[in-house]
Amino acid sequence: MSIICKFELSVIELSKIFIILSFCFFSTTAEAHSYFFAFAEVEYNEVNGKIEATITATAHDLERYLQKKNILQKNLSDCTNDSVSLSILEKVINQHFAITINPNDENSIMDGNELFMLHLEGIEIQMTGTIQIYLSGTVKRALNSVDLFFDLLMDEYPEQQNKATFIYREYKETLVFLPTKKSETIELK
Amino acid sequence: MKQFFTVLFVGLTSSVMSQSKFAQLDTELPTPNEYRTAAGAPGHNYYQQKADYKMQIRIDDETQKLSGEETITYTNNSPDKLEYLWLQLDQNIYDVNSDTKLIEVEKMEDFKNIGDVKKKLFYYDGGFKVESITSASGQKMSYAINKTMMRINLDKPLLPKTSISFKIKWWYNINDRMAVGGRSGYEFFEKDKNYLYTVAQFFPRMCVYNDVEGWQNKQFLGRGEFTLPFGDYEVSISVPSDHIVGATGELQNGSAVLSAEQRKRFEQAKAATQPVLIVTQSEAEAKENKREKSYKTWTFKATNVRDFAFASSRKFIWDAQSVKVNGKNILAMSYYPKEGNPLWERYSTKLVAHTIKTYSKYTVDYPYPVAISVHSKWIGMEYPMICFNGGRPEEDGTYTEREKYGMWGVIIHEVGHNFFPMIINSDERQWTWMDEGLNTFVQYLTEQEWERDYPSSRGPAYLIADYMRGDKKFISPIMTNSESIFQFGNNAYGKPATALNILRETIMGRELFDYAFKTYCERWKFKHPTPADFFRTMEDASAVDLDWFWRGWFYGNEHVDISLENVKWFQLNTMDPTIEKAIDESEERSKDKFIGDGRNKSSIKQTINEADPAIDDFYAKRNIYKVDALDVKEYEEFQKKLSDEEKKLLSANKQFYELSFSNLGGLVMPLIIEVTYIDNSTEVIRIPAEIWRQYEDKVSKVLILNKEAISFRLDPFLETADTDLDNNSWPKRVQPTRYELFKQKQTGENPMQRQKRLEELQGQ
Repeated sequence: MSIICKFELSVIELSKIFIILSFCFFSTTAEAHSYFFAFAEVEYNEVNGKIEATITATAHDLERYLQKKNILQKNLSDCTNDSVSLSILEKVINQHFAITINPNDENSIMDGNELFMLHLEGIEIQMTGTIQIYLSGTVKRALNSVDLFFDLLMDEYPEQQNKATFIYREYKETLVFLPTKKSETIELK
Repeated sequence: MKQFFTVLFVGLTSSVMSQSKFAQLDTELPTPNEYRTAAGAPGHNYYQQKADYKMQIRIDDETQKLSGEETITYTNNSPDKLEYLWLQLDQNIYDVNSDTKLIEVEKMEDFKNIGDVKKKLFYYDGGFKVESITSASGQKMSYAINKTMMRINLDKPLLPKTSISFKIKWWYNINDRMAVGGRSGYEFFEKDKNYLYTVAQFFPRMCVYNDVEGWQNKQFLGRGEFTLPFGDYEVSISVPSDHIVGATGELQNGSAVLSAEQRKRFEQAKAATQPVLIVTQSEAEAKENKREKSYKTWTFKATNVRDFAFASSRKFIWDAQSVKVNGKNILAMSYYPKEGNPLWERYSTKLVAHTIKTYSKYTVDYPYPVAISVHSKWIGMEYPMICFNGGRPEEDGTYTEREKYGMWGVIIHEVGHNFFPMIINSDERQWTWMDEGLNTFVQYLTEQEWERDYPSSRGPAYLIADYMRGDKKFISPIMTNSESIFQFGNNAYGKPATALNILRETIMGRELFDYAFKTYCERWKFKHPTPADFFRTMEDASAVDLDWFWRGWFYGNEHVDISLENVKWFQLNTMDPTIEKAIDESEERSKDKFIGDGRNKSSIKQTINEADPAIDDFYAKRNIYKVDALDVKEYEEFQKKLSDEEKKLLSANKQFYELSFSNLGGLVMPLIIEVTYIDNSTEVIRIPAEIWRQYEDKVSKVLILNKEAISFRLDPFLETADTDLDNNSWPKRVQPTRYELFKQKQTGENPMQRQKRLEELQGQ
């Protein structure tokens, strides 16, 4: 089922939005909640040519998110060795945490962006209430310019703020992601 | 490479540099006055208002509607005439025109699925329905409602030291907490068709009027919580007769609402040091299917509290035990449905008892007769003497270790709120950190006394490092109003708790900190402190100038990243030619040699000057490393000029290390340096943060050591929240990433698989 919305305003270009059917429903209005964060540590390992990343998030935020979206109904603590659940989680993470390596030669129209799937290496649940998600992905070209997209949990929690620290040789920078600013570009030249 | 130096007397010029990080907080803090002193204590004319309530409340279990009637007696202790009164209508946050909904920032991408659309268009008929407001004599009073605030107009001003009584009648639809969210509401249990009510913000409550804000009538938008005056409460609550009610205060009519057996168990609990069940699980379960239609009224009284809340359900199991605080018995109690077990019967009441005992040690003696923990799925929310806490096991009764720690943490935290802000009554609407931050700090201390190495999620400095780095545009100072904070939890809970931990462990030390912190709590118990009162008291009671700390940690958003840039090694020149020339010669010999020089030695059989002795002159023949008589004479003359003490110093073989530091993050902190010596022994040297007082970006320090050092490390105990540990060591030592640590410990089997292998091995 899809819903088509029509805006009858002459000065605004008509847009049609297709909305998928999902009846998960929960409002966080007025609820005091003290979490809503995710931190990523991303390093390019020159020895094996891989991006290696760790995402740290509040386990119960992610758990409730996955349950409310009808993605995964299990307790994340029970998923650490469950390949089916980990595969589902890998897909979710790749939708909300993406790394794109931009063309090395900005004048080249043949040399397109490289967006690659991150492989989920494993998860760990900390007793402090956080989950650590370990990811890696092989990079096929030199890193000159990198786009980071990181909106994990933002489509459910409007107050979510994510941060990613990118490490490459001597370069180390922390980028902030918000519902109004979900991607950032890092220039490594 | 070590270097040698000769002691010289040189004049130093000091350059005047910015001292903004160490500037006193004169312009940031309000001017002290007769209400609040410069020492941070209540002034000689400090006053606060009083609001006493008498209420009759009824919950309709068929419609989930709460109706009430209250008589408020408001006493004006201020020196001011009040033309009107302001009350808080917090339930109006659920009104269809609530600002909370209107101010949500939205984009079309927020409407991805039909659930999102439904959520945005969801309407629940919340909000107070005020039926009447009348004077004590029954006259109608005029009033105006401005969203979550209500002004009652007075016919004549309320004069200083006078009181006024008036009545309000209202009702509202209780929110389905599982659908609407919220700090209070009801949970419906589909399986047995019963409700569990956790009820708060349920009555029009007086605003605070004081010397700081006048009327604190800032609208309730959802985050900044409640600012409330103290008063006495007498509340009668009518609920279905099979319900059990827990509330702020002491039950006044046990004989009317409890069975003889329950009363007997209640009396037993008052003397018990372990939880005693007043209502057992089987008794609670037996009521689930009957659902009584008749009603009973429970009456509670509470003295000197700033609010009132209660919980009611026929599903409640109820247990209690006594806990002694400074000779006074307090009843720790828990109310929970069977869905909370086995966690709740095992831990809740014991956690309540432990919390009030530990907080009493660090703050003030718990003054109330009861302390209650109620199980309420998902949330954690606090009120005087009672709080609502999550921590629900799976349906099969199992639970993860994380769930257990989550439940422990939330109970300690919410019970801890009895002290901040219920007793030390700060302005929550304005400053979240004053209750959440201070409470999270004492929560950490309490967790550590509950279990050794308790995995506290907030408190230790290293846990805040991730939050503090990154674009400062999106990091709010702690001194930010609750509604405007980015990363609410890390900002208002985690960072202040960390800051206090750093003060206690690193800046002030435990003795000075604990005394000053307790002084603040004692000064402001049952009063309304402000941030300045806290900042000033901590300095006043410790003689530690903390303005730089408050400025950096509370008014600023910089992070800690101090880099150990360079280390240079020196030794004193002894002036003894036999020692110094031998060292020079040894150094010359140990220098790296050019490859050509070595090959020339064998390929050139004889040089001209080797073949012709007449070539070499004085310079070619002299041995600069040989000690001659003149060297000896000069040394003897030098020795004669030295005192015995100076001679001893010269021969002490002191090692001099010049360490250079850069302040990359901006937030100044002490330099905590671990030195590892050549014999692998270690020493920790602590340099106060004031080393940065004139030079905020770069400083150097000379360490004079008795032994040679092989390495230096900054912040070895992770106590400064340094966000980059890679630049903390000399020689450089890069910390492994989290991914690398994960890979290093990966074994390919989970703990249960390992256990299975172990059992197989033991079975062989």
